[in-house]
Amino acid sequence: MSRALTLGQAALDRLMPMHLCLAEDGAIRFAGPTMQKLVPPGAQVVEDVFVEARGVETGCVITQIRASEPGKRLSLRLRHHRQMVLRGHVVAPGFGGLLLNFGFGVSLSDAVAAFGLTENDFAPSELALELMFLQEANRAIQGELARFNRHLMLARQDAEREAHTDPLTGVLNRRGLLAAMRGALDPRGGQGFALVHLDLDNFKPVNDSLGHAAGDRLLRDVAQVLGRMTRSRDHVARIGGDEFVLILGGAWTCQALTHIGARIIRGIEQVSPGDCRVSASLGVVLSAGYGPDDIDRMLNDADVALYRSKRAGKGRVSVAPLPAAPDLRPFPAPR
Amino acid sequence: MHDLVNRAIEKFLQEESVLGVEAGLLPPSLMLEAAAEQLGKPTDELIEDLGAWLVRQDEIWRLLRFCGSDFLDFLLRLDELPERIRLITDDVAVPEIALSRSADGLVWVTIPGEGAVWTALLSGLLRAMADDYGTLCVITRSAEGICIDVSDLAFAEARTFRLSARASQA
Repeated sequence: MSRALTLGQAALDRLMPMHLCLAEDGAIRFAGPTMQKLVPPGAQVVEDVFVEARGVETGCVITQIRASEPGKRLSLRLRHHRQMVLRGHVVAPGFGGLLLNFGFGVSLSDAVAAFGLTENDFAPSELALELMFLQEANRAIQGELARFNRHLMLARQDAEREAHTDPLTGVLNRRGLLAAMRGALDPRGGQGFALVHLDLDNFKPVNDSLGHAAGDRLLRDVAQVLGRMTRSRDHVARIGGDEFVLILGGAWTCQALTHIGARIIRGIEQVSPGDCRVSASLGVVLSAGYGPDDIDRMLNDADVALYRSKRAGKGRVSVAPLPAAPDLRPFPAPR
Repeated sequence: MHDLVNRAIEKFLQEESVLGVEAGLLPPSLMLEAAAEQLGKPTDELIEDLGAWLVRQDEIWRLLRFCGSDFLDFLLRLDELPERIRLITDDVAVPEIALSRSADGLVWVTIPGEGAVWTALLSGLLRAMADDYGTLCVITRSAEGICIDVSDLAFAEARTFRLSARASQA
């Protein structure tokens, strides 16, 4: 059983503000109030409003509309706002011609912005406002979450930096040194370096006679001396008590290392407090022959070289020339 | 989502120049109680201020204006609010809001079974929204709920709201 409905145009406007009524040949007969905002001024036929949504433009939209099966979705693109695809369907009304009704689908927010639509342009049954509400809520929450993530990332970077830093002197700690060595021994880096193990001489008397505060101050001064005497791409680390390690990038000769070692020893002697005569002993190894898995061995070899300097009378530099050769030659620091 | 709630409260308290209250340390209710004590004002008044402050946040303001074309529309659809919040997230527990209208036109908003916190928050929010819509009304908060007496819906110009955020920037 079907009922023939008689519906006034005002009622149709309220029920379906996006309707469009066409003659069989595509001439526009009338349109709902919201659809009127989309129809360009002076439009006579449906082709003035729409083009095909997909495929080649034939300039004959009415053929597609007439061919559209009842109940099937019809997608059409606005001729003057090509990014917007309207979706709708078509029925044959009792008074002849074609009656179409449309919705904005996912082009909703574009359409609202482009045509300045308001709440009144939508039928109360439509979900347009809810969709826009959701979209904005989503965007706001995403913005907040992005802020959170940035915040967390910065906090993590800080924590990582702190985990690699000696709080007393601000230079790297042991963990930081190991990370720096891993980077320096990476075969892809490939430019070699010298590892300098440095131990202060006569440090204990500073703590004993002048107090721990003076000892701490001296460690900070030494760190500063080391920072001054190295380049920004080198690394300075304190790996416990009065032990420091330097990573000096580049290819070094024994002579150059002895020279720079002597300068470091002089610099440290200059910051020695009172008459404590603090100096430093250095053991150096070159990276040639060490691989990424040899960090411990390399540190150990530098320690052996350092021990050699200590035994030879402190205030000296010992360079282990090759990792294989145990032949260590302590050089007295030139004064 | 809880982080967002905490952060909002933290931001509000910063603007109220409450010092030393950091989000994440205390749950929201304790955070607000500590702040109220510091400011020397009753907690429910501070929560009411928070409700009004929420309306002043542009993104939240826009979301609220989606919920009603004028103040009366907003007020009479206030019971949709928990459902709307559930649309966005389901990990914030928002209690149900009950609306009733007495014969003399007064609107009653009650939050059955919930503490005074939500009532205070909503009354601050309603006051600010009435202002925003240019509506003249008397809002009274009591133990039973919130009573709203709307006397002039269009007393002043409403703040302009456009459905498209892009259009309102232009």
